[in-house]
Amino acid sequence: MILHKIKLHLSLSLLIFISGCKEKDPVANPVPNTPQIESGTVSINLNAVINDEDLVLETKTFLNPLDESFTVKRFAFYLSNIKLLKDNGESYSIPNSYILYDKSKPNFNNVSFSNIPLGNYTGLEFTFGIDSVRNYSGAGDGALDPINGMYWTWNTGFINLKFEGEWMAPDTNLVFIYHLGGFREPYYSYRAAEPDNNIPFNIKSNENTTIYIDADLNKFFGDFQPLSFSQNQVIMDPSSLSAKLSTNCARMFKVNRIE
Amino acid sequence: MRKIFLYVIFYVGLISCNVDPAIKNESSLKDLKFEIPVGFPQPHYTFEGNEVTKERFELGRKLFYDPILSRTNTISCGSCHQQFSAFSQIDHPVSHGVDDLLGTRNSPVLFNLAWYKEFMWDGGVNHIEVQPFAPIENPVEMDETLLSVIQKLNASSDYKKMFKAAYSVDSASTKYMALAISQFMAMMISADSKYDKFIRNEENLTADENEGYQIFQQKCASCHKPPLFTDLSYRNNGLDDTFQDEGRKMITQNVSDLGKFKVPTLRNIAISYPYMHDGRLNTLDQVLEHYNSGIKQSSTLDPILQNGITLTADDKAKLISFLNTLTDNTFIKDKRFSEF
Repeated sequence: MILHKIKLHLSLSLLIFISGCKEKDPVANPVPNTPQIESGTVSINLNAVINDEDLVLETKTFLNPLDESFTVKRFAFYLSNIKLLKDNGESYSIPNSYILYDKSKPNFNNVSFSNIPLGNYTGLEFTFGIDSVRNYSGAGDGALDPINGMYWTWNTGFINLKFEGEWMAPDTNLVFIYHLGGFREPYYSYRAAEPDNNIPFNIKSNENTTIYIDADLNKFFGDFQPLSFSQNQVIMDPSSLSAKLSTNCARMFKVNRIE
Repeated sequence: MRKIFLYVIFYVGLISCNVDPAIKNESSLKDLKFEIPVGFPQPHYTFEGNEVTKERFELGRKLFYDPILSRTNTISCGSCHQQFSAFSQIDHPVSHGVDDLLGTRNSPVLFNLAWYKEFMWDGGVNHIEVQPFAPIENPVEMDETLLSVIQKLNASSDYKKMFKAAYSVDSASTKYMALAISQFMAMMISADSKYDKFIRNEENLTADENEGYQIFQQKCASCHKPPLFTDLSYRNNGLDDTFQDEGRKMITQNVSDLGKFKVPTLRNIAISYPYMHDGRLNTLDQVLEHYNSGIKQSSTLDPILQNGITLTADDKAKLISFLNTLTDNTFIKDKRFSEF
């Protein structure tokens, strides 16, 4: 009985002590996020295609421009610094616009940005990959969280594109792994990019406009720098080739539609 | 009456915890702040968005010493970075990771990191906040995925409480894990050695130490530049003429960086043997003899070292006397940084 009382007193005093310790300034009320009264929302919806077919992971076989057959295991890439072009020649850069497209994580592939100024726009520009400044800026989260597997930890930096799968070589199937990254001269792999075709759109008050963008994986194999599975099956370091392939990648975007 | 008696006992117990020097001196964490030592430049890391608090520092310390960061739950940051050797690992030429795997490089000392722009012997990591990710994912160090680490941390109610207290977040994430560990590491400052006291006019050097200091200034200080005792550059110091470990070139892909490694600090050098990026030299005498007679020629050899650094036996003895004055006992015994 006495023991119980002692325990009770001790735990009571412990409680008092702890609560005394934890007493702190109340957290200041967050300033309400006042939305711009006259603004709309833009969503960027990304979709991977090969020629005009939707990319399907693992089960579907595709042909590259050299008629090499392959299946895809992983396809992911970054877009950043989205800039909306106005019809009066001005532009609006969406702050902190980092998008990770990952075919295996569909919830990543539609990203909305609010507080977009109203008006008529002629199209958009963006960066393929993550720019140099962000690569020097320490720990990130959300799309920039290294947990997404798009980050080199031993040689700091984002992997701007991951494209992995199997090539049906003449005698056997061979794994290919292409990781494009690096932000230092001369082998940096982020690129200024724009869609092949820009379609005008209008941002209206309190309405959402979705820009559907196709990324054509077939462009990875050529246009600026041709690539064949028979010559290169693994690219995992910044190099002259990976830098040139990034230029291919900057050319793989096309606006499908705007709704 | 008994009630009062019990409360008194309990509170006295608590108070005595706070003043007992054998227990970690928690009161010192209350006034925790980053202070630039006299004569040091402005730091590179300014704790922006990661302002120093007791809760963040304590979370960082707990993570630093927790083997939960490794795949096998056996290796912590503190395994290869031990306070008594200025957070290096003595007698280990290269780091020992999970499953008894050996790394390729010597665990460097950890202190004054807030002044560093780049980390690791090859400078591959370009920001203190992303440094913890490298050993966690390295297959011969902790060999763990960040996803798994975060899952393990979020399975612990202690950790969830600590992340909440430190960063007002409901769960652990890579970002706040990295911020906490980097806050703990960036707070490590070594600037209270006998040399520092000499510079601050608080203590005198002996005749030998002073002569060693003169030799140091003439022959070593251009690369091992005070007050950090490194100029943070990458140099080939003539250890090899063929390069199994390409060093800085692995990061820059530039052939002119072949065989270059970061100039290490000489602070606490006497207590952080073995030496060089692969821990191949065991004593300071061997290191000095390397510069005197062992320089190997190669295309990227540092121009300063083309003809070596001539040092007599007497020079070496005096230099070592001076290097011993760079040992900072205040730092290696600072309870704020200790595991227990």
